[in-house]
Amino acid sequence: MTRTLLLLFILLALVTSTVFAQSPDAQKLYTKLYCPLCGGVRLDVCELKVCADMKQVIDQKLAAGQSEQQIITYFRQQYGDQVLGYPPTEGINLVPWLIPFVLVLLGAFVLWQMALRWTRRPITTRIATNTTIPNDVVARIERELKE
Amino acid sequence: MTKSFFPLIVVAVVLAFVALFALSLQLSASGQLQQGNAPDFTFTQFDGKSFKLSDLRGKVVVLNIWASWCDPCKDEAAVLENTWRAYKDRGVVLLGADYVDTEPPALSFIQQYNVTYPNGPDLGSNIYRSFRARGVPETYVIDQRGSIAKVFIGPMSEAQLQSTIDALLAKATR
Repeated sequence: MTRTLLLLFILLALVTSTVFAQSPDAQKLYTKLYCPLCGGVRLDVCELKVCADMKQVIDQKLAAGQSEQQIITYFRQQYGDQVLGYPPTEGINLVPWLIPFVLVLLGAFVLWQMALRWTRRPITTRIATNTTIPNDVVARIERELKE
Repeated sequence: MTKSFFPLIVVAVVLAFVALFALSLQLSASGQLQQGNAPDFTFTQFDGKSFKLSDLRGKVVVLNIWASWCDPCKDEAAVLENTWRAYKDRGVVLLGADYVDTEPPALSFIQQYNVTYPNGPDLGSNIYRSFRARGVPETYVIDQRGSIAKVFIGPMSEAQLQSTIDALLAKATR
C-alpha cells in the first residue's frame, strides 16, 4: 500500500513538473509570436519542427536573462515581420494601420461639407431665387405670412 | 474650387489604394525570379563574416536556399558539397542561405553532412523574399555578370548542377 502511494506520488510529481516546466514568460511569448512558415498560426499551437525549435530558443534566451522585447526583436531579425502576426507600425507597413483613420477623416470631412451646404442657404432666399414660382404666388405667400 | 476638386481627390486616393493592393497581389502571385539581374543581398555567415553578392562579381555563384527541417535538403547536401569541392578553385562560390531555421539544428545539419561551403542564416528572410522563392530547397545559379542563369526548384542532381556551371565557365573563357 505504502509502495503504491509512493509510486503515485512520484508519478504525480513528474506530471506536474512537465506541465509547469515552462515559465509563464515563455508561455506568454509563445502566444505573442507566430509561425514564420504557416501564416497566422501562433507558436503555442503550431506543430511544425521549426516552431518547436523556436520555443527551445525562447526558453534558452529567457534562461539567459533576455527580455521579452529582445527575444521578439531577435526573431524579427531572423525571420522577418511575419513572426509578429501583424504589420509593424513603421515604414510602408504604416499604410494598413492608417487606412481606417484616413477613411474616417474623409467621411467626417464629407459630412461636414454636406452640413455646411444645408445650413448656409436660408429658406427665404431659396424661394426668392426660384424663378419657377410665379410672382403673384410669392406675393400671396408673403401677404399670408404677414397676416 | 476646393469643392470641385474634392470628389476627384477622394477617387484618386481610393484608386491609389486599389492599385497598391493589385500590385502587391501581382508580385505575390508571380513565381521565382528566373532571369535578369540577381537581386543584391548581404550574406552573413554563421561565423559572423559578411559580404555582398555584388562582391562576388566575376565568379559563378550557386545560391542554395535550404533549412535543417527540410528533408529534400538532406538529399541535396552531398550534391552541393561535392560540387563545392570540385569547383571552389575554379571561380565558383557556393552559398547556403538557411531559411527560417534556428541556429542549433542548422549547425548540426552542417556538421552531420560535412558541409564546408559558406553558410549563414537568411536574416529576415530577405534572400528568400527578394528571389521570390516558394519553398526549400531552391538553387539559383548566378553567372559572372550577376545575372540568374538557372534556377533549380527542389533537389537537383550533381550532373545537372555541374553541367550548368561548366557551361558558364566555358562561356567566360571563350
